[in-house]
Amino acid sequence: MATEATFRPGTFVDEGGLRSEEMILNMGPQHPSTHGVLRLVLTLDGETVINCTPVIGYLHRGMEKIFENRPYMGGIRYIDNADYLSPMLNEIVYAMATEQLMGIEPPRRAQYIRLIVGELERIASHLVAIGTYGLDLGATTPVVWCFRDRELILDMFESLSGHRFTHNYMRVGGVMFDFPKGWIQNCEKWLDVFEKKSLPDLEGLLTGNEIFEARTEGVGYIDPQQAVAYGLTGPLLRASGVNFDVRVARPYGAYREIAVIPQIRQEGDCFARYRVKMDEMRECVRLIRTALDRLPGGSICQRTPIALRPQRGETYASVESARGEESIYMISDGSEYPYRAKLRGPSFTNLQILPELLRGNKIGDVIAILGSIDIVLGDVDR
Amino acid sequence: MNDLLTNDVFLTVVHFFVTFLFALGFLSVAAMLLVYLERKTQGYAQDRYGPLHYGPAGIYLAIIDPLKLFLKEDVKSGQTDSIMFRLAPAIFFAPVITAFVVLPFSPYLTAGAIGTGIILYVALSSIDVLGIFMAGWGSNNKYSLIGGLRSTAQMISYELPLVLSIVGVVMVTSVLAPGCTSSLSTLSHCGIGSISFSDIVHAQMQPGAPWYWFVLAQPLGLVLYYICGLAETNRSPFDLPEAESELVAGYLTEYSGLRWAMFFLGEYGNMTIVSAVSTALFLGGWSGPGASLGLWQGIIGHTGFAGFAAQVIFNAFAAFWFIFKMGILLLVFLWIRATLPRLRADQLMRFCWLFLIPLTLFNIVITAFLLLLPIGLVAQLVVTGVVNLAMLLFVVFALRRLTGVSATGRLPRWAQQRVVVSATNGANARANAGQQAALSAPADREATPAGRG
Amino acid sequence: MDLTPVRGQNSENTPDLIAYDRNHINTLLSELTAIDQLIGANAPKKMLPAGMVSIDIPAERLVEAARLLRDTLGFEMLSCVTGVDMIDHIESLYHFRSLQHNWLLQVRVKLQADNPSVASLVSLYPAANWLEREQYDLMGITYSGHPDLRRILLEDEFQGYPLRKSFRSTPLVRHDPATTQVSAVQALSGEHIRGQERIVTKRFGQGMEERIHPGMPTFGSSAEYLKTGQGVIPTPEEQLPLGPVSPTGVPEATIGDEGKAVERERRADRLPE
Repeated sequence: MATEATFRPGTFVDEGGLRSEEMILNMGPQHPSTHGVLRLVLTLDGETVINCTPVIGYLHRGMEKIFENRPYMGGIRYIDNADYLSPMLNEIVYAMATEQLMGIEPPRRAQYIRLIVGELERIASHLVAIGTYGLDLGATTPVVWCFRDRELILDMFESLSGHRFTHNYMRVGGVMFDFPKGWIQNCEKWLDVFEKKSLPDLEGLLTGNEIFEARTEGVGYIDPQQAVAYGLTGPLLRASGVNFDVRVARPYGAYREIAVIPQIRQEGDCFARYRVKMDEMRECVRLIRTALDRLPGGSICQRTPIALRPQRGETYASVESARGEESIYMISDGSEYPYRAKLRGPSFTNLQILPELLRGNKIGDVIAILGSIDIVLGDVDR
Repeated sequence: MNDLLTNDVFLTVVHFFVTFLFALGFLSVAAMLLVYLERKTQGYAQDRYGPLHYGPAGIYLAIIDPLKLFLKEDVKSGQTDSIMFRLAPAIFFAPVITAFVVLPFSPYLTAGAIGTGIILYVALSSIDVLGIFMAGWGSNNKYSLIGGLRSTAQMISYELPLVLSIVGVVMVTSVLAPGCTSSLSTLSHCGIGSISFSDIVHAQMQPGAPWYWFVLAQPLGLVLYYICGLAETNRSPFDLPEAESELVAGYLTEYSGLRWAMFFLGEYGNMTIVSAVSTALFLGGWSGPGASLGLWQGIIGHTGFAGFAAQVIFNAFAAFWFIFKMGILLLVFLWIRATLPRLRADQLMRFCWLFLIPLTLFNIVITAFLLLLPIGLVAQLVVTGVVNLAMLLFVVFALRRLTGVSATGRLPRWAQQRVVVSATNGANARANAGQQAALSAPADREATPAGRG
Repeated sequence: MDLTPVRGQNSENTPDLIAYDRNHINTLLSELTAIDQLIGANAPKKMLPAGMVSIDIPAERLVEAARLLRDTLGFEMLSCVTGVDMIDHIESLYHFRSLQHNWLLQVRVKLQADNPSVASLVSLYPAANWLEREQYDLMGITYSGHPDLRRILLEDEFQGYPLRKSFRSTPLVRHDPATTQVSAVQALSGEHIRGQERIVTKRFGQGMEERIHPGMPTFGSSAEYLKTGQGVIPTPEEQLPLGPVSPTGVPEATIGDEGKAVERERRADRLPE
C-alpha cells in the first residue's frame, strides 16, 4: 500500500511493461452513464485509458441565437433549458444581466425569494449529482433516495411557479409570484426532515462505505494551479482547495446581507468533490433558514415597462450555479432584443479537464471521474 | 410389481429421475421467484413499492417476466461469431442445472451415489467461465469483450479462495467421522474428511444438532465462502463483468430474448447454488426441528404405507428447512445488492490475491493445527470455533480498509499540500466582515491565505 | 454601422446589483497602466456594471498583454471568451478573473470583419482551448496558434457561422421536407453514400421486405427482392448530387453572398407549388 501513496494520474502507464494492442472504444452518445449525449472516444490499452477525446454538440440548440431573436423577457423561458437541473439559477443570471443593463434593482423581498429558490434548486441539483454518482459506481439505492427528496423540492416549485422543471419564474426586476399560503411552513418542515433524516441516511450509505471510499479517494486528482488554469469553478474548484465562490467573492442580491461560508476541501479527488457537495447542501439549508427568518415584506417586482428597452450598454453578470460560475455577457443596442447574449456554462469549461484526468486510469475510473465532474449536457452544448 | 419395487436398479433410476426433475423444476421456480423477490427487496430498500399490479403484491410478475423473455425476438447482429454466440448461453446454463443434482435438499432428494460432491460442484462452477467468455468473444462487441475478459479473470481468480475456504469444513468432518467418536454408519472412514455433501450434512446431524453446525466451528469459512460466492456469481459488489454504468451490459450487451433469459436464469440459479452449498456445508443442511434423524429413527425402518408416508413427511420437513436456510442466504444476496457500490477491476483482483487467498490458506493451517491438539473432540471443536471467530473479528475490525488507496489515513500524502487562493479581499471583505467573524467555520474548512507568486 | 455600446448617463447614480469597492477598482485601474506601457499608448478603459473594468487592446499585442495580466497582475483564471459581430468589425472579448485580488477584467480586441483572426491564448490559459473553439465554430474567428481548431458544437460539414449577423435563421440549404431515408437497395448493394439520403416512395408491404437487420425474420428475403427487380435503383440522372442540395437540384456551394441567399430563400419559399 505504500507505493499507492505516491500514485499520480498520468504516471500510471508503465512504458516498458507489458503492452497489448490498443483498442478504440466509443463510449456514448448512447451510454447509461455519460449523463446525457456526451461521446467519449477512448483509446484503451487493456483496461487502461491512454487517451480520451470528448465529442460534444449533440444537444446544441443554438441558444445564444435564440436569445437574439426573442425579447428580453422571452429569453427567461429558454434559459431554463440550458442547465436543466438548476433552471432557477439560470433564470437568475439572465434576469440579473437584464437588470444591470436597465440599471434597476429588484425589491429586497424579491432578492430574498431568489436566494431561497436558488438555494433550493442547488440542493435539488446536488441531489441528482450525488444520486447518479452513486448509480455510476454501482450503488442502486442512493439515487432513489435522492430523487425522493428532490421530488418534494419540485413540488414546492410547482406550487410556487406552476412548473416543476422549467419554471419561468424570474422576471426582470423581481419574481413572478409571491409565496403561496403555507409555503414557508411547508419549506421549513421539509428542511427539518431533510437535515435530520435524509442527509444522515445518505451519508451513512455513501460516506462511510469502504467500497465507495476505495473507488473515489485519490482518483481524479486535480491540483489547485491546474484547476485555476483550466478555469474550473464550483464544487470542482473548491474540492481542490481553492477558495472561490461567486456568492462570496462578488456577492449579489441577498447574498450581500446573508454571508455564505464556502465549503472547501484540500484533497482534490473525487471523494472531496462528493464531500463538498454534501457540505454545500447543509450550507444551503442554513442559508434558506436564515433567509426565511429575515424575509422582508414589500413588493416582489419592480414596475417595468411591458416592452423592455434597456439603454445601450454591455454587462457581464455572474452567479454561482450548482456547477460553478454561470455568467451571461449581454449587449443591448437599445432595442427590445438583446444584441448579443453569450452564456458561459460552467459544465462546458469544467468538462475540458476530463482528458487530462482520464489518462492512465482504468475504465471504471472513467465513470467515477466523469460523474464527479458533474456535467449537464444541456449546459455544455447549450 | 413387488419385484419391481424391490429391484435396486429400478429404484435407482426412479431416484435419479425424481431428483433431476426436482432440481430442474426447483431451479426454474427459484430463479423466477428470485427475480420477483429482488424487485421487492430493492423496492423496500429504496422506499418504493416494487411490483404491484398483477396479482397480490405483484406476484404474477414472477411468471410474466420469464414469459415475456421467452416471447421476445432473438436478435443476432450480422458480425457475430455465430457458433460461439449461439452456444454460449447453453454452456453457461447447463452446469447450473447439473450442479443442482449434487445438492442435498433432503435425505431422499439427493444423488447420494456421488461421493465426490464438492469436487463435482467446483468443477461444474468453473465451466460457467467458458460460457461467459464465449459470449464476450462471440458477440463481436467491445463492451462484451471487455466484460468477458473481466469475467474470466475474476472467476478464475475467485475459484481458488472458494475451494480453499471449503477445505476447513472438510477437515472438521475428519474428526467427526465414525469409528473415531460417532456411531453413525453413514460416514465410512475414520480420520479422513468427506467431500460428499450428504456425508457433511450427516456429520452436522449429530445428536444435539445446532451445536455441530460448522458455522460455529468455521465462521470465517462461511464468510469467505460467501464473499467468493458473490464474486463467482457476478453479483454486486463484484458485478464488474456486467457493470451497467461502465460496460452497458458487459457480455450480455448483444443478447436478447431467450438467450438472454438463459444467462439471466443461470445467474439466479448460480446464486441459489451458492446459497445451497453454504447451507449444506455450514448451516447444517436440512437439519432442523422435526427433521432430526433420531425423531424418525423408529418409523422410517417400517415397510409398507406407514414407512412410505413417514419418508415423505420426513423429507418434506428436511426440504423445508434446507430451503428456508437457503432463502435467508439468498435474501442477504439481495440485501448486499441494494447496499453496496461496485469495486474497480484492479481492486477486485487485489482483494482476491492479496487478501482472500492468504487468509484462506492461513485458515487451513490454523484449523489443521488446532484439530491435532490432544484435548478431546468437543474441546477441539470449541477451540477451533473460538479461534476462527477471533480471526473473523480481527479481519473485520483490524483490516477495515482492505482495498482503499490509503491504508492508514483518509488523506493520501501527495494530496496534503495546502495551496489556497484567498478571495476574501475587497468587496467581499467589506460585505461579509461582520458576519464571517460571527459564523466561525470549522478548522478544516478554514482557508489559509497564501500568496501565489 | 456603429453599435459600440455606450453606458447611459445615469450610470453613476443607479444602484448596482453587486456591491464593489471604488478604491478596489481604482487600484486595478492604476495597475492597468502597465498595459499602457506595454502597448505604448493609452488603452481605452471603461467602467462597466458590477465593478468590472473593460480595456481595449490591439490584436497584435494580445498575447503579451495576457502574459502580463497573468504573471504580474495576478489574473490567473480565464473565465469566458466571447465573439461579437459588430457588423463593421468583429470583437473578441476575454473575461479574466483574479482570485487573489478579486478583480474582474474584460479585454476587448477588435478584429477585421472579413477575416477575423487573432492569436490564441491556449499557451497561457489551457481553459482557452474549448472556449476559443466555440467562438471559431459559432462566430468564425480564427485563433492562430490554436492546437486543435475544429468545430466543436456544430457538425464538421456545417456551412457558415450562425452567430454572425449576416447568417439567416431560415435554412439556406433546403432538404426534402420529410424524413429522409436511406434507400434499402443502395444500402444492400453498398452504393450508399453519405449525403445521398432521399425519399423512397414505398408500396404497401415493402417495408417488411426491406428489413436489412440481419437478425430479423423477413418474409421474403431482401436479396430476392433485389433479384426480382422490384426495387428501384436510381439512375445517375435521378441521383441527387453530393453536398448541399438546392431545390432545383443544382449544387450551390457559395453561401454568404447576401443577394444570392435572399434569392435562394425566395425560391425555397415558393417550392411547395
